[in-house]
Amino acid sequence: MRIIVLGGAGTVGRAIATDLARQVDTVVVADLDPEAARAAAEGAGARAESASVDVRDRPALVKILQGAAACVNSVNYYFNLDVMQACLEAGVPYLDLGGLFHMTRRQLELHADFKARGLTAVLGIGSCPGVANVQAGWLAGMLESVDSVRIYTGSTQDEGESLAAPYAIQTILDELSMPAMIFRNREFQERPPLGEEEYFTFPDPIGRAKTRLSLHSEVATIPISLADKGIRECSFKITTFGFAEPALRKLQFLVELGLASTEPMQVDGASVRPRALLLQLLGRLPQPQANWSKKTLKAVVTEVRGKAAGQEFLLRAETTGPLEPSMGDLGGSALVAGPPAIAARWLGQGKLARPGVWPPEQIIEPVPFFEELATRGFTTRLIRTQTVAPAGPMKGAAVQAPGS
Amino acid sequence: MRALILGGAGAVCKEATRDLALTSDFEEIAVADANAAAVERLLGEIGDPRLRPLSFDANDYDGMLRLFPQYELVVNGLPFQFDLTVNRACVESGVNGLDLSSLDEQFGLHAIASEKQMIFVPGVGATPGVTNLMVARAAEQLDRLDTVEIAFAAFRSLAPAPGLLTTTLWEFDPEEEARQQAVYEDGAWHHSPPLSGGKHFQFHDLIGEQATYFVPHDEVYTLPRSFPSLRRVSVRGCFPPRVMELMSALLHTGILGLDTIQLDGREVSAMETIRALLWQNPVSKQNPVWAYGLVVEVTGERAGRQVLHRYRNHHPPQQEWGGESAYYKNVGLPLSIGAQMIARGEVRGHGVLPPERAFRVAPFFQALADRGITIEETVEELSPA
Repeated sequence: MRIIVLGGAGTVGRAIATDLARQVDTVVVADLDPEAARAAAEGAGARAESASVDVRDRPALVKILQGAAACVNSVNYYFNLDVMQACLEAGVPYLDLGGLFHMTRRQLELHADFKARGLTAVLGIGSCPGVANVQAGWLAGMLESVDSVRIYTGSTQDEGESLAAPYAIQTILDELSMPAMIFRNREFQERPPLGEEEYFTFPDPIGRAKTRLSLHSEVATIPISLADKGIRECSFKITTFGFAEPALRKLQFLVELGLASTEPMQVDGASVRPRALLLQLLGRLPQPQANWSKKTLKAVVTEVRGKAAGQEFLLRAETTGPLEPSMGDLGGSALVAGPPAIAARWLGQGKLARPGVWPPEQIIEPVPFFEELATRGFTTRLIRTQTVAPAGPMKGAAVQAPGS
Repeated sequence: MRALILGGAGAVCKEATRDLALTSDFEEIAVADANAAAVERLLGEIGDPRLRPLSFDANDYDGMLRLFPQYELVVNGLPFQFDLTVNRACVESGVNGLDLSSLDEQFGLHAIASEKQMIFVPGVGATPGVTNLMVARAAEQLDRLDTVEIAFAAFRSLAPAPGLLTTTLWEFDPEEEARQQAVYEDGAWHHSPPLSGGKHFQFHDLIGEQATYFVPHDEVYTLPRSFPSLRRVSVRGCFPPRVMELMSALLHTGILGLDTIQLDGREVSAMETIRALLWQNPVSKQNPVWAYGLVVEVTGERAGRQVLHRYRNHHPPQQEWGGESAYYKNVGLPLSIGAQMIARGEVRGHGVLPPERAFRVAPFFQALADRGITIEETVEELSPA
């Protein structure tokens, strides 16, 4: 089985390739930067080889994809449609790590094409989106009707103030600057980025932490997937995008100044894209030293409210685990990298042989998926809350002690 | 059927009296209380002709033996010091009964009560009472019980009534004998001093998160006997933060551990002096939030997997539930529900039985829900992996 990892020299791409190299015959670490691809392949193990490819070069991309059992798209989400088209042409199953809501919605439009070609595509199968979607599908499956799905993700915080990006900086800047989408009263609605702050209790040792809305593709697909269960609300909230709180505040300030804008502006007669400038500056910052401790932990929590057998339930799934120290600087990506590695192998094995374009909640079997994650050190817990005896008309209401 | 309710006009028990009047079909409910004026006031408020005042002396055992056989059920809402006497009189008279707390000696009457085909259920309030049934609910769903942690938050003033002031002082008394056996672990009961074993619990929204500490409580004795697989049982409790601060300060002065102190050249009981001081202090009657919080966490095994069952009570706020009654109802309503279940024969056996062995959980919790107290159940389990 040969699996291609596009963007395989990136932080998450390397972690995916390393995971896959333990499980499949050949992993091709493909990246725009040939040197980085070579280094990443060497780091991933003996079953990894490298390749250089520009995903904007369709013929070159199709050529490298041909014959592969699956394509893991770990390049920036801006190129998701390009890569999907190349997969259609090459006849290769596809998966990616998310499309930040709007791109995901456009990708779903390729459903008929993939179906006609007899190919499967899985959209957004990392941690968020990914684990969160599978949790939502799992919990909703236990209910007859679903009222709301609320997703939260957080991690124990680094105490430093480094602005070095924990994952794709372009995506982070989009999350910080683009309006968040929520599904409320059965309608998709825009909200300001990082709006609707809420303190949420994560499993220990993260504990109570501030979360805020962010543009994410779980919200793009789950309301559609669970429409037949009557879902009224869906939201995604995140703590600090993997930054320490002070670092996030600094970055937020820079975004508010307009430095995340991709619109060109004139400076001393020259056209400058503020985001390009910001990326240049961020790129110059020293990378932080990995400083793993046993307490370091990431959690994805999904809460689903709904009814079964006439009773209301609050179901909560928690997937937690250490930011794996044995993976060195890839440890922080382990929960993002595990799901695409699992899904890619399953695609290659024909386990996800349902042609079309699917969000994870519609195609990934939850229990085997969580079992696979458990072998990577990530535990999934199910927490069910219900009222034991629902209150009827209150007895005793007529007799109150006056003034007592 | 006729019921006798002892201490029926007291702060806690009058909520049971009200509920019995509203929801039971007893032909007669005799309300016995040392405070005749309080009985008259309460009966006037309720205005149910089935209620009848009765003078009663809790120290007159022979009087009990003459009185009890005239009733089919004795509902004992007296302070806990009278539990054993009332239980004994019930058993001797062959009259069913229940009360709000239990002394271990009460279960020594089990054999005689069983022989007489009668039932007495000690400890049918909030804790013990509802807490025992929360554990029973978990037991219905688990293959094996491992541990039980009970936590309560009694949000009332320090001294709303003499009996409740006594209860508070008792819970902080370092010399209290029951403290020698406050925590059950691995087959034995162990000592725990006041303010030991601190742990935070999240109670319902009216109370929120509170620090709680080990308290010697009845559940620690009854639950390991009812569920022998239990390895650990503990009860922690707290009062409102202001009361906790005051009691903590008193405890740290050492005065709660003294038998006597010298006052104006006279030797007086330290505890009685403190009791008198607190009773007279208007601050002891003040409290902004009247509510009762319960959390019970049960761990065990189901189908080979470790599972945690967590139970939490909810009830309406004092603004909607009669002010201070919002606290008292949490204790008084279970007493009334238990009384009515005994009267209808909805019990699981004979003898002196703790609530977890006497009552079926579902109808009891439904009766609580019908009165505004709902029980939330949370079940946590590891993934199949």
